[in-house]
Amino acid sequence: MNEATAPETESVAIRKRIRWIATLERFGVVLFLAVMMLFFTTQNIRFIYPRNLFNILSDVSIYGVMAVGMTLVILTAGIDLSVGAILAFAAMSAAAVLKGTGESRAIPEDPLAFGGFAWLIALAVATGVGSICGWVQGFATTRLKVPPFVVTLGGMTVWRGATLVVGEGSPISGFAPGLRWWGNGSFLFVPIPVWVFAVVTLSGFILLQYTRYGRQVYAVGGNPEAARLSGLRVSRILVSVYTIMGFLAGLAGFMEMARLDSAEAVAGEGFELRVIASVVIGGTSLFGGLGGVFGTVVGTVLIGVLLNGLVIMNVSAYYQQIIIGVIIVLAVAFDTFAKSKSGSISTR
Amino acid sequence: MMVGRNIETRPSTRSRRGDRVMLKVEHLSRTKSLPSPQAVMLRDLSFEVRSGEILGLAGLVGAGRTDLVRAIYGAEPFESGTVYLEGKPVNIDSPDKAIELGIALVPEDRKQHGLFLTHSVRRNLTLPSLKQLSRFRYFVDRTAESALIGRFKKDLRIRMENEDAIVGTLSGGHQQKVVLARYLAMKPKVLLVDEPTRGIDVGAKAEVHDLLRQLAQSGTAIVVVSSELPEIISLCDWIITVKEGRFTGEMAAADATEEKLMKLMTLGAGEAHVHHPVN
Repeated sequence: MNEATAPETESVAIRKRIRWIATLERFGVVLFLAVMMLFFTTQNIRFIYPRNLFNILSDVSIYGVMAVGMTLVILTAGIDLSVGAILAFAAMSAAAVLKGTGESRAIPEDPLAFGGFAWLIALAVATGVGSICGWVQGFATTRLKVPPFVVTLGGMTVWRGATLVVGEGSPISGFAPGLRWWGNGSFLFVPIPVWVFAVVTLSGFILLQYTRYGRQVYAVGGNPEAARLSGLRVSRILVSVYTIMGFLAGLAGFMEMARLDSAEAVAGEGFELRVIASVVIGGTSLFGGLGGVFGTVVGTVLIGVLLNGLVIMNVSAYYQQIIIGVIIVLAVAFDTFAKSKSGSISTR
Repeated sequence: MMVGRNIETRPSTRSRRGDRVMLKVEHLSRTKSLPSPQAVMLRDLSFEVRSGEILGLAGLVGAGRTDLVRAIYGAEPFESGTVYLEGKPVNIDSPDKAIELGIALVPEDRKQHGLFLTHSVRRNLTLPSLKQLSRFRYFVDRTAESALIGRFKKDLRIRMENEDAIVGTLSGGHQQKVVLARYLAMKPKVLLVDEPTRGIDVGAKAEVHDLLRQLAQSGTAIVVVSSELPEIISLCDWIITVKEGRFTGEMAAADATEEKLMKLMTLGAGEAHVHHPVN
């Protein structure tokens, strides 16, 4: 095999550039997070206290749980705008099962109701309802061929309305301590929501990196037609991804109701944007096929750190919103820039 | 029906290699509804490929060769006709079924339909074979996977830094080898190859040809679609010419010349009916 040497040296240069971009793409956000944390520490040493750091983690864990699911969805080049509404609907359904829909809900829950396993029932109902919502949306996108953006935009209103129907327009509150523990308790000095976030993250990481299913998710996002011709059942994979997303939104709903000791009709409003922002800042491409759970965790923590740090610095809430918005746009701009670089190389 | 021209046909049983008929297609047609504006009508197509044989489908672009192999593979629908695999009628309505049965299609457009350009060689190469490379059913056995990739890297001389090199950074020929390797890795009984050497350099071309010959020798039945007549003539055992969704003639590659094929591909039986026995 004698190939010309000129293209060979050229491709070495290209490869080096790609590696540089890939490294930046992968660790740029981590670097950014580290610099930001350093900055906030210099502004106020309390920022770096373990207590504050655990506060941040505890605050972001509900978003983080959903962001892991959103990573899967976005990896398939999809989107789910309904996660906040599913969170509310799942929590309200679980609360309604526990406390009924009549006058009984005003009574504080007996700690020994359901043999002390009220939390388990709430968990099962919330995740079950969430999964069903997700499955319905996945089914609608694949069978009716409506883009996920539209389906989940509709879903956002539908599930929010369903929440009001189930809750009859008012919150359901006052749960057994066994349930509240999931939102406010701690184990080995670490808050329970952080444990849940950690377990979900680890599962998501293993699922995407080490299983056949994970490979298929990436493939469907990377090139759906090539995936189909490689024998993947694309529709089935897409439906499963939205179902997992629904399951995790339901889990987040369970965590939220445990934390607030109340299921509210307005719970989770606006969460979808923060969750999507976490995933995108973490480097998962909105075009699908590239990214992962590691980046998502960094993105989730980054938003939490930013909000916490700005509060510690006494920055007005108005400016906080502006700063977060700008950072989201910059993150996506960087992502697109890096993709266009590697894209221009791959089409040679 | 009047036969307009003198069409060179031979009984397909003579001078054909192999004994076991692996793939047989009978009266495959699609004339009423086309799946896409680019799709071509397929009119009553019948042929068979034997174990160890390389069959060539020669024709101009748009003659329906790609549509035919895609229809057999379940990537596109057809209206009537039967596909037999090793003598048994099979109903393939999606590529995953074809793969399960041991039929592979190397698609024509490797960038659009073949590769995941931003993914690694590893992810590209083993996708349809993951079931065979799994551990605890759901997990990917990376050791077995690496061994498989290593074997193809050596056999096909795929030039890459390592298994995790991004496919988009390889040259065209090596990209094509990765697509080929993906479908060879699943050890197909029938391999459909659409334009196996389009846009790759001469050295890689010869290697791909050698590879296909070796594969045929090991008993795989191969159908090659190619627009390059020299390739069809040198690579295949038997050649069928296609024009506007019809078969217009067939001959042993040993008897074929570019002129003969070109005549059948362009002038060939407009309305004529080529009769060739199906058994």
